[in-house]
Amino acid sequence: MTIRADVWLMLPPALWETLYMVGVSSFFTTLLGVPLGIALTVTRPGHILGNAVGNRVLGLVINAVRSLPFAIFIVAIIPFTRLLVGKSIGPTAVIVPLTLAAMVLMARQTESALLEVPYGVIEAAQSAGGSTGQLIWHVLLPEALPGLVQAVTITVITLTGYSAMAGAVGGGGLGDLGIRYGYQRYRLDVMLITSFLLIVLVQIIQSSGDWLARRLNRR
Amino acid sequence: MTNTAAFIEINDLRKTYPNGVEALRGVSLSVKAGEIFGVIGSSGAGKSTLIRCLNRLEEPTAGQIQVDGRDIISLNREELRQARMDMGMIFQHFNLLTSRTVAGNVSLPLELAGRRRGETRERVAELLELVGLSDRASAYPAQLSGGQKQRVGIARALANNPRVLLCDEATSALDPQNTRIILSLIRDIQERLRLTVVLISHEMRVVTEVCDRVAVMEAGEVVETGPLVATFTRPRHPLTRHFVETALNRDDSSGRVNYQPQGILLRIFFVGPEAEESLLTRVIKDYGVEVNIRQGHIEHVKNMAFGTLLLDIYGERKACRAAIAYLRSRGQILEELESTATTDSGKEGQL
Repeated sequence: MTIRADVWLMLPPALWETLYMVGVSSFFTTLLGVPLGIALTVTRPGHILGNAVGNRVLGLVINAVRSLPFAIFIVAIIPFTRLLVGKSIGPTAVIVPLTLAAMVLMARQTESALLEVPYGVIEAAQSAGGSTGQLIWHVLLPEALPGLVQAVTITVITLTGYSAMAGAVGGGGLGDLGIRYGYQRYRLDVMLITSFLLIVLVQIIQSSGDWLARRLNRR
Repeated sequence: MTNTAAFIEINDLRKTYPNGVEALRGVSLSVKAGEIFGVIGSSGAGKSTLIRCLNRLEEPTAGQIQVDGRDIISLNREELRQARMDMGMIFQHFNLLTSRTVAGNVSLPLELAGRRRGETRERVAELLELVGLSDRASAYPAQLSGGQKQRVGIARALANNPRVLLCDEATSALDPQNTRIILSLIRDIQERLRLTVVLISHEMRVVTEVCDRVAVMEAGEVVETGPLVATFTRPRHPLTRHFVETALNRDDSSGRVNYQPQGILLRIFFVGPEAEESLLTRVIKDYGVEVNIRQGHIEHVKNMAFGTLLLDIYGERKACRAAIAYLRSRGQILEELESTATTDSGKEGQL
């Protein structure tokens, strides 16, 4: 196999598009997914703001979104995407479905990280007169931080995978390059190099996340 | 506030869980200002629910709770937060934040109360000094022993100068030595800060070590309550007696090994000043019987001795009966375990 010179022209913009899509959508996913996960946790019966009905509804909505295959989801919310960013094609447009799809995953991951915090610790702060907001901000989140970092790591990796499907709406990026040039035009070199880059990217994300979680863990 | 006034008044408190379990079935208690009040009961007796109702970590189903004249049940969210700051609480599993250092854990209640940073730092140093952990201020809970963790718990509970300290099985996860250290610390700070302490435990030794008055709980009800010494030296309820006996290490099998039937084997349960030897000396002198002590165990509760003795009493049959009658007349709990010298008493006959 020979690597043709045009690969080095196509790769940098594709890599940049991937980093852009994953970076921006990770940011918004965390921004929206963590609060959603907090809501999912504290409304559980017996938790700080126990509300069985609210919790049930929230859980159903989240599960519904999670059930949809991402490829279908991208197309299904095109009107919403257009409303939000004014277009339905390109890396920026893809950030919308990426964020929405990963947000619900992030919420579930956040929930399981927060449930790792022994409830007694929350009660200790409650017995000291902590308000609901204080319990979340001063106890729940800092105590769950290593788990939350792991949750973000997994979500970012999932986003990297999802972003490869972004070709469906002309999203661009490494995955798109790999499919269109590598697979559809029989360019083995493109397919291998893009795959290799995605593997390296995921490894870097995973290792950094693990390192950070380990550093934060005081248990 | 006088010393005898009820500081905590619990009236007909009930708690039924959604699954139908009645944890509290009409508990009424009054705790005086500046005392250490103990609640003892087996697991599932409702004592944990009771103490958790005091600061409404658990919402009672019915009944009244007054703490320092404040009606706890009717407080709204904000008032409850204020009331909770007046009641420190320590827990069986310490419940420290693993992400915070010792100093960070102690400063949490001060941060929740919105104290200024400088003020907080000063107060934390003061509290760590109080519990003897100044040198571990920057350690994380994972680096501490159980006893040290509970001292952090105590410092945290006292951060906002509460008037009440609630101890929810605070020593149950500790070894006997650390239990003693923590209990004496509680006693010490209670005296120094004139706290009112409510302590729950399933262990007799915990309650006898520090409490002024006790309540015995069973199946969601208080079956007996009173001053510590009176309650445990003259137990009225079978459960209270059971706790006393377990505390006295009823396993007397070693004393019964190689039992040579040479008289009447007795187990005497001593209470009060008679726990001293004089009672037996008296029996030997006055009734001309011989006594052979096989095993003994004496406990002290606030300078009051009580204990059990496993002994043979032998000699002339009539004298033996008279001696036993005398022991009975002194109001001691007494069991005849085995008897070869007499035929008119059954085995394990208990009075």
